[in-house]
Amino acid sequence: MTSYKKKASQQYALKKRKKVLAKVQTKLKKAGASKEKKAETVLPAQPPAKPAEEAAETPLPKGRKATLHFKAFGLNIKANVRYETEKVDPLIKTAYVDMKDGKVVTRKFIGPKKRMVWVDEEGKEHDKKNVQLVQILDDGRMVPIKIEKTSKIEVEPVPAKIMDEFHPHSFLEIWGEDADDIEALRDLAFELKTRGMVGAVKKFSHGYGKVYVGFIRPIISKDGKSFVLEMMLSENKKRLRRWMPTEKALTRAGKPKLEEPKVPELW
Amino acid sequence: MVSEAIKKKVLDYVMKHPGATEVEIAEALDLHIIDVTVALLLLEEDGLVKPVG
Repeated sequence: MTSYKKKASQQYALKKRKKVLAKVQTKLKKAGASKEKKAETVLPAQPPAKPAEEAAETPLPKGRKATLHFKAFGLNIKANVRYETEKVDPLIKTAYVDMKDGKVVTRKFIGPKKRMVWVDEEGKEHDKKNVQLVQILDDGRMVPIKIEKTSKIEVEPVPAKIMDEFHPHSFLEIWGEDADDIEALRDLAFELKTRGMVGAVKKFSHGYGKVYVGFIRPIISKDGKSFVLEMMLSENKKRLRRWMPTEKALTRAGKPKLEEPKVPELW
Repeated sequence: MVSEAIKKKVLDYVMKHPGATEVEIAEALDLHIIDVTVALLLLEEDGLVKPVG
């Protein structure tokens, strides 16, 4: 490997470059500091932003790209965003399994004739005779189950705000077959609407190994002439919350109270 | 509608197991998740339970 000493002219150029760089850096720092000061005086308190380096290091979750625009309330926002379908684990986890080798399989339609086959993760075909629907328990055990298409929809009235607690999976529309059925559904829709309630369906299935809970919401036109019954299907709650009894509940349950101090009757 | 008996069962469970989730309550009392959720909403309205976290 050969090394050589830089010429005097080169050394001079390097020194000059370093000096200029140092000057630029100090100017940039000053500008940055003054901007921060200005921002402090003008903007309301905001959560501290992540340092640029740290933010760059944290990888963004993958998703589809878009820009979000909002212009109202004195705000004019244009932000680069990403979005993705929210995934929720179902309360009842089910899967189709080949009972011979215990591999999870899914249905696929292949070929021009759309032949239905059961394939595993590696794409290997499995005999449909061995495929069984199972419920996957929390401890990992698999229990064979049978889920049939719902033909009797049992509805119970519940407060409408319960719907906010459940994550929507899909929506169905329900309508009556003949005039009598339509009238009966109209009564149901109006009664639910008047009472601020929705109809809860504790179990609903299309019959393909998935079970949902449903909420039938009445939608009534302004003039009251037409109505729609919409059923929201859900696989799980939006979030699970932990619950505590309040002081009121504890008192009601007879929480031991401290007695008033008394003077002992000794003298 | 959720009966008073279910509300009482849920309240008793929360008293004995503070910090329990809806699913834990439903499993322990063998109730449907909708019944537990409704019972907790009504109990919250009565000021007898409160969500934490």
